[in-house]
Amino acid sequence: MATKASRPGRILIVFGLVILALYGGAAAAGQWKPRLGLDLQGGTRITLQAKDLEGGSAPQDKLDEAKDIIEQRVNGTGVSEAEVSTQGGDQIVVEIPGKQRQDLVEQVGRTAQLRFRLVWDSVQGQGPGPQVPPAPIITLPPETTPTGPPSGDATSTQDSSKNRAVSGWMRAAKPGGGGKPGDKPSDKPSDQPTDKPSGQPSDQPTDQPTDQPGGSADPAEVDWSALTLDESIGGSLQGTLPDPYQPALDTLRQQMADLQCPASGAPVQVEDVPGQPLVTCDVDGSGTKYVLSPAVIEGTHLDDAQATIPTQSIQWIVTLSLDGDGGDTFATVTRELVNTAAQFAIVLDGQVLSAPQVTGVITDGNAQIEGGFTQQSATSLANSLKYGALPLAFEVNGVEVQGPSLAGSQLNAGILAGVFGLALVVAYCLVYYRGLGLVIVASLGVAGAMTYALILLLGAGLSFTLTLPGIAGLIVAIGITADSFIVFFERLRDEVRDGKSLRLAVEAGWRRARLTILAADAVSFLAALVLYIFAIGVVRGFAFTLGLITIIDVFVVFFFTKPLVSLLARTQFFGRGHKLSGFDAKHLGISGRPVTQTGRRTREPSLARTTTRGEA
Amino acid sequence: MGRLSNFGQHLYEGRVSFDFVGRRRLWYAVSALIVLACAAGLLVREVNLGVEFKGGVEFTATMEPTQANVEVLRDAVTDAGVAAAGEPIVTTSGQESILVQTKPLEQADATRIVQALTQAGAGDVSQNLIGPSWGKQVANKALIGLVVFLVLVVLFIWAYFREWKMSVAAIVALAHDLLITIGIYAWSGFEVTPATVTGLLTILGFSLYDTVVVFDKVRENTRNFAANLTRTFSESANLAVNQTLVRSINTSVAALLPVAAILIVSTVILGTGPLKDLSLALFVGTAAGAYSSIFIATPLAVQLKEREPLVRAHTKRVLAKRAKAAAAPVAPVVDEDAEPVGVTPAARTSPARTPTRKPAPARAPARKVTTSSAAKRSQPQRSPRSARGKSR
Repeated sequence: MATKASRPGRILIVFGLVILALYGGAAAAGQWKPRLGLDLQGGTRITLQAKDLEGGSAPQDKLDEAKDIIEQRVNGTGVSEAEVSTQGGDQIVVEIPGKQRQDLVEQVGRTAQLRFRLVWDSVQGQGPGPQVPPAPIITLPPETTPTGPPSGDATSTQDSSKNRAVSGWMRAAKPGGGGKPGDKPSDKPSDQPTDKPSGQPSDQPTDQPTDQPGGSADPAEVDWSALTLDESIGGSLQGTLPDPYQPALDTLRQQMADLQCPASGAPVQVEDVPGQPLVTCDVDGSGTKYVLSPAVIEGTHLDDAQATIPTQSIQWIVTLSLDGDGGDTFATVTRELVNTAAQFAIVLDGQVLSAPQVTGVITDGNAQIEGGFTQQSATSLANSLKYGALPLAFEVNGVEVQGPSLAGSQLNAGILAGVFGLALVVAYCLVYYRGLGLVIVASLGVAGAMTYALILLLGAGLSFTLTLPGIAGLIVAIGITADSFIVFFERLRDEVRDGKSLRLAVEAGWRRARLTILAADAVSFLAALVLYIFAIGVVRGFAFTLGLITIIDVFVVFFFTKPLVSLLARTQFFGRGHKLSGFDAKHLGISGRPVTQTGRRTREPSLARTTTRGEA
Repeated sequence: MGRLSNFGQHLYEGRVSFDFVGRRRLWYAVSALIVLACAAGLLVREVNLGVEFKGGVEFTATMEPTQANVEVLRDAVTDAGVAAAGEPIVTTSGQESILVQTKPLEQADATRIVQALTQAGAGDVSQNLIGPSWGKQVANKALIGLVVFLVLVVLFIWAYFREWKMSVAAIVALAHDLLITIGIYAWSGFEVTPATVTGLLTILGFSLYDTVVVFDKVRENTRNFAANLTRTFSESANLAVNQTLVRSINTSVAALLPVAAILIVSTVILGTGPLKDLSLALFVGTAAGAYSSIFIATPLAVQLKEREPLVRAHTKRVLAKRAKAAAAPVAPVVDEDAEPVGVTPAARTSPARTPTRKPAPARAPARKVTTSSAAKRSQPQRSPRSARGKSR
């Protein structure tokens, strides 16, 4: 008994040290305020859901790849603090704290950003060109790939166009080759990038000082929808447009000249609007720049894209098939562009993926791109074409935008509800348990301190954010925590009613309550865990805090409340059953004797009195 | 409170006792009635599903929630020229906001409505756009969660109590709570959102918590029921329920108070929102859970248990013994039987209390006997006293 009696104090000290250590950790992490969720500080959350999945769930690597691409897209818009994460095995969540940016939905959620445009003008990059590794998303290789011997290249091209019965074929061409109209298909494509930058197309407009009847020089103000496909093709072939558009084209050329293509790997920041011309860079990082027509074919017209090796060939190619409308337009375009230096561009996410010349009229919408692909690069391009860069198709599932004032009042409401709820529980416990109620208050306080420290630590370590449902979980958990104390105290009182001294009753009651508390907490934790796994969206925060507090509750009851009660049982106030201790005979309704061991003799008279009353 | 505490003492000793187990038919009937009413509610009225389940857009505009402003915003949405929005539902919410709900929209359209609302004078506009396919998933997930949880619960209870009967009883109590909660949602027309579903799943935990506490005590009291011939199994169980009654009330109150706080604060300040949805489901469910663990779970567990041959034999023995004791024409025994089931404090009371408490019920007849012996009446009248002593 003596050794046992010395323990509670020690446990309490250790427990206090643990809490101090938790706060020390929080201090070391420099985190003194919990990270607030979007619903409490305002912000935008966009939830994208992978669709058309086989087997109902997305492969993790594809989801991660999509996440990276979307992250790039978001960062590309200049939002730096955005967080992109995967969720639930088939979702990607974009969170932008503190900002209301529903305008980003278009750019983030759009999966098919692939478009076919005509090249009106281009400037060969000054950069290292083919030596620069391609941008991460698209891997159309430089044409100097050593794996493709030029002669074999030509043969395979011819073979494939025969054997695969496609009605035409294209070669990925660098704009530098634009100065050689009438090039035969058998020309070595690998030579082209090394050609000197062609001044030819860009020189042309300068000798066209057109007057501008009604045409604006600002491309953004021009009504491009009136531009016909033929006129657009003319721009590609001759480098000029009809009068109303020519000034704008000149401006676009100037914009292209001014455009700085970022170093390899970083996508250029341009706004890819389908109905507008586009000034942009090649994706390979070579610094090649283009002026492109408004989109002539949308990526949605692309039915399929495959990476394949045609029979009797050793070269990987990418085949495309366009649907009816797309195929018709494509036929028109290829008919005009065939065997000229003019190019059209496959544009993905605003960057030129490939700008082939046309060497055959494609009337049925089936085409192929070739040019020194490896298996990996061909597959990647095919996937890029098919999914619009994302390895999965996504649909926008939810867009949540929280204004700052609503977020503020939600935070206030959460805090107020917490204070209110805590006050109610504390008041109830104090009235019902009196002195013992103070133990509950202290235990709740300790549990609260522990919870706060853990939330800080989790915020610093695992980027845990506190949301409104999370706060609700904390408040609800006050009840669960208090429940544990009540279970213990009721057991304790039962033992006292059975006639044990308080000190013995604490131990006996604890032994019995322990299992009940553990069982009940296990159930709560189980519930929280299942909730967390199956919870939807932000409600997860609720399950998380609920589970967290359930664990904390076990710790507090075992290492704080119980030792504290053991200590208090030795005091005169509790041990002798003071009127306010919660253990006085009258309060407990015991008609027998007071709850005391040491004080039995001194309270003899009162015992006699109670007995008499009990008998009366 | 002191009175409640006294009450607790009386319950503990069995001086005051509610017949939870014995009158189970009554409680079953009450519950059946409530559950039927709730089921009828589900049939008659559709549960009011929130935007999250149906798909749609919910705008929360910071604006003084007056009827005039509601009309202003309604007109603003209608005039925004977004045909897909349909007829907007505009309501006031809380102290400082107005809620606008529309059909599912593309973000571009939603942005136009946000602009229209802002132009109409709304402070800042929050928006929650939910794609139509979202709701299906939410419902599926909730359903899977429910099934998984129930399976886990059965396993847990079985592992903890080693008793399928208790598991069945606990599950029935859970189903009871869920049905009542859902029924109340159906009748009241409160909006059901993912937060509500989360609340519903949480209720499962709460309800089980209560049941675990009560069953724990039942198990303790009935551990050696075969050796105890003064009480039948069901009486022991009933005593357990009574002994944990105060605790059940306290834990339920302690659990309900914070939930009530959230419910009140969120309803007053925020109007609708996840806080209100969550706390409302929790409030209803927790209250139902407290009821069911006492009135449904335990009686049902006992009922199932009473079918066991061992328990039946024991009950027969106890009743036979009691009948035998009652057969002896003795007043005190009758007195004792008049008391609620499961009295016999002697079995539980410690020696310290025994001398002071025991004579109390014996006092009146004892006095009679004393008088009679003073009157030199014949001895046989004293024998009942010893007979009663033996019966103890």
